[in-house]
Amino acid sequence: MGFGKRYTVFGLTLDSEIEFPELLKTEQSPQLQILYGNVPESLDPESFKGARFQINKKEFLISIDNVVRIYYKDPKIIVQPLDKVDENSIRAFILGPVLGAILHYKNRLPLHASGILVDGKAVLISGRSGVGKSTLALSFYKQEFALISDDICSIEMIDKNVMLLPGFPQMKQWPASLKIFNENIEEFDLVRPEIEKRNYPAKNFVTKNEIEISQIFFLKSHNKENIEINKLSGIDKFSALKNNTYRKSLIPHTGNIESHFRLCTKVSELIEMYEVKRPDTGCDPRELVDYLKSYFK
Amino acid sequence: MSSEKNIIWLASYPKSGNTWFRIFLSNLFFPDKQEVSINNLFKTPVASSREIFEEATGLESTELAASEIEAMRPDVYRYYSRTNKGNLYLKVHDAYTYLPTGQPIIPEDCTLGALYFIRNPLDVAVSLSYHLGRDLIKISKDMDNDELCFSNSKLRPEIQLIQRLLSWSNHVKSWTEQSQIPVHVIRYEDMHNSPDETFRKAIEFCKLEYSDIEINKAIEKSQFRLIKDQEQNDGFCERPIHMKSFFREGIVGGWKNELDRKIVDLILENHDEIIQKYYKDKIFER
Repeated sequence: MGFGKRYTVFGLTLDSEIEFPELLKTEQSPQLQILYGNVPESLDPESFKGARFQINKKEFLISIDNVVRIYYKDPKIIVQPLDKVDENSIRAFILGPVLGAILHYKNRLPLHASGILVDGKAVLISGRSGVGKSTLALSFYKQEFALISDDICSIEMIDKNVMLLPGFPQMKQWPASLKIFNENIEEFDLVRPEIEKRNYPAKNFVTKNEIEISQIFFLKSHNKENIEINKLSGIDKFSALKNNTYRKSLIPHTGNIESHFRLCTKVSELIEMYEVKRPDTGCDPRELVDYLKSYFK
Repeated sequence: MSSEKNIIWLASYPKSGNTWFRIFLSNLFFPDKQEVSINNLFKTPVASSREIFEEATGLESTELAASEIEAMRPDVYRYYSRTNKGNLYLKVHDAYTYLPTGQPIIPEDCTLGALYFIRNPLDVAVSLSYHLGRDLIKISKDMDNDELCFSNSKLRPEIQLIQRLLSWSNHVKSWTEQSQIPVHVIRYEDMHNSPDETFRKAIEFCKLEYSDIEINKAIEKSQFRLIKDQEQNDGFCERPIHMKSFFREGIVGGWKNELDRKIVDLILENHDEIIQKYYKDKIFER
């Protein structure tokens, strides 16, 4: 039954009316269903309202002007295209903001991070939008490190271990990053019309359903010309996790505060973390890769 | 949640005294500190911050077109207005511009007012040249360019959202000649020459109640030499990487030692109307 198109992402299985060529297919029973339908313009008045989203303990609604409105109430994700929206845009908003919110509802720790496979374990690169997570992940990928996830990392405790559940085999890359590796930009689809960011397929992708996390590097920029790496300890680890949680402002409204706190505490206790500062004006990601590799366990 | 008018915009063309005022505000709000650290100022987020945009919208700003972001910005500020108690100070370098719908990006319905900082464009040119690491001829042309934007690369993600500056003159006009929100104009030169009166009037405009003694104390703690010393000892997180120091000279009229006659004449000609309006008491001769 269902739509027959089943996919796995972040440890969730989807049955979808929409085709997702970037996701891995699965035969497993679906936990979520994605379908087209009419979406309310607003939730009940008690719901918390952002500038383009609304949320309460069971429902999430996000709206992108003239593009799409998407509503989640477990187990359904209902998509209402507005005007003449393209399919790439619909998928981008489901795989980013909507799944990110759902991970909060599912009591995971969604970190704003990319993850790569190093000696059988996950190393995460976390940081704000535009700081260079995906560029650094691409740089590792070009050195034959497999991709586990790009932009959002879904973290969960499984049998007392801190595990990363894989995303999907694709990275979003800016032309400037692709140029460093002599890639032909025109070969890759735009993430969305009018935006030069490209969908970069990552064929070298993990095959396991969950990977133990080894280290997390929090990437920042600074107004110095050198690269600095400092090991984090104590409360700084917890703060880094909290501050880099994907869409952390949603947490209080999903009823997830305690679970998020516990998960951040546990991850802080168990996982080695570093703060990495690179020059504001940018640096060669290959140089940054070499720095980080010297800190790998 | 509040739905009152509680946003005060700290608006200026770049290099016009905005940072100095933020340091003064920090020292006013935290009087018990000997001097507030310039690396830990009272929170005045920049209106073009990606972080505040993404927190408010729940969306990835690097996956939205410039027009989409622009359309959402008024609601971003309304979000912070209603989720904050008390006044909210937002720094902004954008000109006061309008969406295709005619709605201004700066929403009137949650704005208490704007402090608009203006500085002699000759000194702005010099300061901007050092800040951006660009030559003075390019800077003086940029200052006359109505298409000038900051953070507008399409090939890589910029730290901030795109900001439309317009020309220097039209930046000034856009803020000071609109009639939607109250604006109090502060001249950088008056901050220097008559600080007590200038800062007091700014505080009164913000509807804050502080005594002259408190204001004067904050002014003293924000003196340029103290700020410069702090930067020398501890650095300044907002300094561009290529600059030796963000707080360079802090003087009025430094342009006389830096600009050649050709550039002076160009800037004076390009911006004559605004200069006559705000600087008729000054004579810009060497």
